[in-house]
Amino acid sequence: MSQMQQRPLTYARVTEDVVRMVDKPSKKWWALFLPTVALVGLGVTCFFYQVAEGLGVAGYRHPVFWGVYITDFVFWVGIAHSGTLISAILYLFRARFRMSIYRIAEAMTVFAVLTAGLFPIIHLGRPWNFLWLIPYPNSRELWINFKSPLVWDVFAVGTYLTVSSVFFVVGMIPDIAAIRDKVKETPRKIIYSILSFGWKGSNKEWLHYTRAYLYFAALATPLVLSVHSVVSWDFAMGNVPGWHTTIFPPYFVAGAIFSGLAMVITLTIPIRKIFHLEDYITLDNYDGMAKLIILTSCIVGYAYAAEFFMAWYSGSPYEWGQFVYRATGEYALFYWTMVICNCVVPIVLWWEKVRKNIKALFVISILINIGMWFERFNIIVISLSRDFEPGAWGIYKISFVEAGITIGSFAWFFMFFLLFVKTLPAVSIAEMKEILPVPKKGG
Amino acid sequence: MDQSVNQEILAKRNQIPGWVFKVFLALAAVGVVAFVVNARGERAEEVWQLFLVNFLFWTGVAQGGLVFSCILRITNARWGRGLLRISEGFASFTVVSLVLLLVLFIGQEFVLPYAHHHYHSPKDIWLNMNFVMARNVIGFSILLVLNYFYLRTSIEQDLNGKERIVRLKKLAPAVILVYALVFSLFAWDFMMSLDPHWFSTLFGPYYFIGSLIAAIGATIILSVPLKRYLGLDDYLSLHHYWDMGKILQGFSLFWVYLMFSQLLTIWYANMPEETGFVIKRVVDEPFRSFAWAILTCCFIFPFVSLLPRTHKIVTPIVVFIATVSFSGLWMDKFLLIIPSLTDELVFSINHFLITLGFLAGFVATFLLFVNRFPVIPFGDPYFDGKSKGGGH
Repeated sequence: MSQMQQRPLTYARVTEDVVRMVDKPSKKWWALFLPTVALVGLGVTCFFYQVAEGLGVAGYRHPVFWGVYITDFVFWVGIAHSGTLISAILYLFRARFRMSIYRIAEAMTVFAVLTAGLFPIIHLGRPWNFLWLIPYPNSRELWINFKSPLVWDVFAVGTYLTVSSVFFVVGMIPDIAAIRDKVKETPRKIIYSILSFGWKGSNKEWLHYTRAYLYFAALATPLVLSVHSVVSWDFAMGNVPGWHTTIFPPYFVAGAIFSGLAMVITLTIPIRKIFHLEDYITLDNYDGMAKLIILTSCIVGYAYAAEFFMAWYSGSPYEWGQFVYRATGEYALFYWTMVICNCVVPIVLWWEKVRKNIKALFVISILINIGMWFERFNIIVISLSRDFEPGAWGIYKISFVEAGITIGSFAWFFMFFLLFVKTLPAVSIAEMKEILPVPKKGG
Repeated sequence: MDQSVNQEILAKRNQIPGWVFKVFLALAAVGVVAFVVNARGERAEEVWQLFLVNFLFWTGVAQGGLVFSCILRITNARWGRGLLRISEGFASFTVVSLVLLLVLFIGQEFVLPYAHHHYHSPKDIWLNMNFVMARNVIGFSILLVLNYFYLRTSIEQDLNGKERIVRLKKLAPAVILVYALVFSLFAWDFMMSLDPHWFSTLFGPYYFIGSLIAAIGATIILSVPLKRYLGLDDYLSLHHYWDMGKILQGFSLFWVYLMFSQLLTIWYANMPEETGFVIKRVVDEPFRSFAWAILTCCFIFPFVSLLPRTHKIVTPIVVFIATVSFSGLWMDKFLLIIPSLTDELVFSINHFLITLGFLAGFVATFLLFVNRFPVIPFGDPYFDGKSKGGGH
């Protein structure tokens, strides 16, 4: 590693380093990959057990019929957000710290949406009927209920998956072409040739490419706001205490970006170490992300406080009862985990030393992810377990099937991610070269 | 930094002729007279309501300008450096705002329904007049102290030639945090609670983001005549307006997002304690037309008209668009406040004179500021000097 740092970054070295990343997988990689596949197997087994036995094994008890699966769904959609934020919004704002990490963030987005999309289906009693959520002409002239926010979700998440995948694939074209030109073996060469769409790197191609990228960025930007706003409306549209409040859309969006950035940090730190990318993903990049985490943490904190205040100020006994219950009832531990992880822990990031300390960042980012998972759990489960009618109150406990599927979903996400870093350029060659000094003749 | 630039900017101080100030101060005086004469008479309610609308709007613009400068500083944005001093100059009005806040409490019986009504718990605690006064005055004073230190440090950079960016970047987040909190209090106490049974968690952000957008609009509007008069073409190029146009367009989209987030949630749930507020403003005349005008001015018009590049870089056009958006945001405050206090929409000469008075007072304090201090922050480490027509 020390040897590598001594060599300055040049155009040639960037290409070499990225091509080396997609070389034959090492034993270390296999040691990471095989357990994830095994855990995906665990999740799949749990799922089929649930299909065979029915949703009863998922811990659903009256009155809580939205539990861990919906929590997981919201969590993974949230993780997907920072990818588009980093690749589109920060691109439009010309923030340079995005360049080394945006490819990883985009990949994360695509895989997180793929993971999130599973959960509404897992949550169904008869998952094979999930097609009924999609409007298509049928002989019985039945249409979906467009008034339901759950159907808005189908459109929001579907659009998001489409746009983020296109953005991801288009963004990689020049880099894949660079790999195509370096690899020798036939099957890989063919695959990279197809994925590079015949890119030659001519001026004309670059002209169209950069133009297209700008438009994609502009189109993807509103999606960052819209997708999680629609997800928040799944709750805010319902008259359940703790759900129905106007701050939900921006609050969910901020929370999504918050958790997404934390996940980017969690993922890039090991990758940076394993592939020796210290010269690419610099401490300044982490500094920039940590600052965005501070901002979103403040927004989330504001939302917690505003909700609590309005519940009190409104004079509604149901709202106030719900919030007091969250903080002092059976789920109080979950509530305070959320508050501490999301509002208290990020305070240490105000110090630059912490923002540039890789170990500290790694721990903080994991704590934030835990906090954000519990945030969704608290909103969904605590609100449902205590609504208007005391006679209908109940307690919900996470079942082993749900835990298995949740663990499986993390494994599923990491599995895709591990495949990605070994097959596709995880650092953007083209954009890294943009920020390097132009080489001098003979130098 | 090029010494000739420093000399050139320093020479631009005290260039605004005295008659300009006199005109604006005279107009402000007219507004004050129109207000004072009517403040105890038959039309007392009307002028106090207008006072509240203008107080909230212009205070928002004044503080929003400083917040915009803070944002530029935190993000190390080079592109907007040239406009930084102009936008932070708005904050000179916040001193006047503190006085106006105290004046507002004199007229509490006309504008704050909770001043003479009693409510059940917990509203009797939160809407207790002493508590309302204390939290708003103390909060705003803290903000003013931060403003003072921030502005002083920012100006010192230019006048003493000492780099203070580290200190500025420490002060900037503090200003933004206190801004969000204090302006949420303003929004709750002086707008939301005028209808004491209505509540919305997004109301605070809706006000403080709206104020920031108004300040961005005002930066565009006021920088153009200044640039013409003081000959700042070398420092404020078409790239600045191009970027400001984009920012304004983006924020118009964000404004409508916040508006829609509240509207959809309330409309869909259809609960009477929430819908009353909206129905009065969006469904029933006379305010319905007003609501449509606001949507047009704050979102539809700026969003569509700012699409072509020409509309962003030709200064008269971008100033016109910014003016429409700015007026829309003023009307927005009007619509949030007035229907809670009265059922009728009346316009009189007093409305016009009071608003004009606030506008003139705002411009006068701003001009005093930019006349006294360097109008371009040449001492800032991220300031690139004369714009060469390129680069960001």
